[in-house]
Amino acid sequence: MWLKKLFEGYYRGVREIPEPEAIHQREFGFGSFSKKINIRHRAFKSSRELLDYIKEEAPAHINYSTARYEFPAGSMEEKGWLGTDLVFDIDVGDLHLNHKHSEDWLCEICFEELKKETQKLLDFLMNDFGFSRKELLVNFSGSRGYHVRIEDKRVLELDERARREICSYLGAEASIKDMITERDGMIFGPKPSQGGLKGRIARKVIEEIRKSKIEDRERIAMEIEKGNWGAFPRGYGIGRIREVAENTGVRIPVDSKVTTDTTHMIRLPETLHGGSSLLARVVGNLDQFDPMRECFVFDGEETSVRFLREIPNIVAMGEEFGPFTADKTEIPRFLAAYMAAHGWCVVEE
Amino acid sequence: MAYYPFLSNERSRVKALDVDLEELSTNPMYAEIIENAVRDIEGREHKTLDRDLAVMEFVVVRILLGIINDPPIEKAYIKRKSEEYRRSLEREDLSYLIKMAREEFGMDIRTEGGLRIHFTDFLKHKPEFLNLAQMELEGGYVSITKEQLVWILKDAIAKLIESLIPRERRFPSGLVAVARRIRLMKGRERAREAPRVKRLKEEALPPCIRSIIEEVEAGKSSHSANFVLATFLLGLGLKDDDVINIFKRSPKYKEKTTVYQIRFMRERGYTCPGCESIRSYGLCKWECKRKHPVSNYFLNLRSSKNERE
Ligand SMILES: [Zn+2]
Repeated sequence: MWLKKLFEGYYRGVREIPEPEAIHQREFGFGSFSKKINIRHRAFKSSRELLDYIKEEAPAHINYSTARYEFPAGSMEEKGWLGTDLVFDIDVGDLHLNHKHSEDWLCEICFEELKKETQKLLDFLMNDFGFSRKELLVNFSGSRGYHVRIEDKRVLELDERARREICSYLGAEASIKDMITERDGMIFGPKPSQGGLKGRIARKVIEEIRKSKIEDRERIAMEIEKGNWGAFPRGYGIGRIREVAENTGVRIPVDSKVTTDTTHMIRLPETLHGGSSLLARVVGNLDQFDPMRECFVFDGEETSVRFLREIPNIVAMGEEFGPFTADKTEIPRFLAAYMAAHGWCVVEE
Repeated sequence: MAYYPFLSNERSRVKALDVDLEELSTNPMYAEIIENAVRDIEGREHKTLDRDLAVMEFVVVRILLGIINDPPIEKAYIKRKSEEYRRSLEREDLSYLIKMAREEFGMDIRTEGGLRIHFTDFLKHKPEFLNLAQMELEGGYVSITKEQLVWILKDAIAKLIESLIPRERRFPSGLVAVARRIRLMKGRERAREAPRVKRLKEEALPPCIRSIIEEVEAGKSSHSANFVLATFLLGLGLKDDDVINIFKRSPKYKEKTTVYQIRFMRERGYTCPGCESIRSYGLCKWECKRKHPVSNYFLNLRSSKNERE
């Protein structure tokens, strides 16, 4: 198979793979182009041993457990859980973007929004949760999102309940009602000077009010600074005020299943994604990062393909391609791999 | 002063006291500790013991829970105890609480800029009614009140107690017996055995028991002597009242304690120690060549009957 051969060729040239901490305690799982994970409960003593396996097999998907186990190759009951990294997955599917294209397509706006949310997540993790930027291991997921991993000792033993709490915090869940309350006809709410979500929400609401055209907005903003949320104009009952606070966009759409599941398998950074042919590259500077430029690994040799559907124009490696009709054409190899991995074209060998 | 036997320095005192568990579980000198431990596990009121005894009681409780190995009993005990400790911790100074949190539980607590705890410690131990999303979280630390710290400590204590329950297979045999009794006690209607002896014939008493009764009458009997006497009389099948009547002969007789202790020993099914043990307590200096005072009594009874016939 054409893609499989490309993957083999790529891994043949790889000298090393950055390994997760305590690689010998991780479970590995591998997938083929037809099944995301079809081999599980594998373990490797070192990244050297892992790389030998990868070179030999060139799997379409390489996943490892965010958990560490005493016996990672054992069955689930035998493994002996030692702890789990704290991981976050921001996927474009959770962003609820309201511009239009088909669901499996990603445009530049999608990538921009994805980056913005990931930046917001990093901000939360640094300012609220106190991690340094160095402790936050960020990588492109290989297709439609970003992964943020924390291998710090202190998070390892957090159980699912604790991880769910972290997700609720990031999702600003169920806390607005406790934050904005009514007493004796007065409405009390958070102040911008406060820490945590409270301060974040207050600061955001004040920012929005100052930007708005509401009458008397400066006075309202100043009252809210003092915690008096009753200063909203007439017609704003507590329900509507809570709604304003809830719609500030303070919440971050992390996939809570990934974060909460302490036995989750996640793509190994710096390996290829069989569904996109892109590299799940480690991200240093997120501001500068552009997956559609940096995550292609194949060369630009002209390749004959036959599209199976219409494809809108696409920017890849800094060049614009398409749009394409469902027909035969020649495109660079990296783009052919991208399209073929998605199942949008077949390569005419 | 509230007392916290789960603290590591208290637990290391047990080692210093150098008590043999096998001995603790069989020697009636320690019956009070076991009795307290049982009441504690069953959630009934119990005496406050002095520190040494309390620390030993905590050992006994944990071992008993380990043997009983019954999650609901264990959970109920841990829930009740940790709540008890929470209430007394509420009355402690904040500095004491912070010291306990840091030194006993390794929590990362900061005091500059208000009382704060690292979010991982908060999440590990927070009570159900506190949510991270409603807390002030900054730079990795959650602002908490003293009361909230006490709740966090409560959970840490509960988990500590749970972790201190031994999970091994081999336990001191004496405690295995006590644990079996607790298990049997739970929810069981006990069919009372008909008394075998209606009225005590003092002339059939073995010399050691007779001597203990003399000590009782003189108000000089020791704790272990009282234990031997009571279990002996119960072993004969006498009713509580008849047993109590004998203790009433003591000038130091205390109605409430005696009634309670007799009932307790009967309910627990404490049996009278054998002659060898009684000798080891220093209560026997005779050579009757018998093995157990209860059988000795019945043998004496039979031989005196034979003589008369
Ligand atoms: Zn888009």
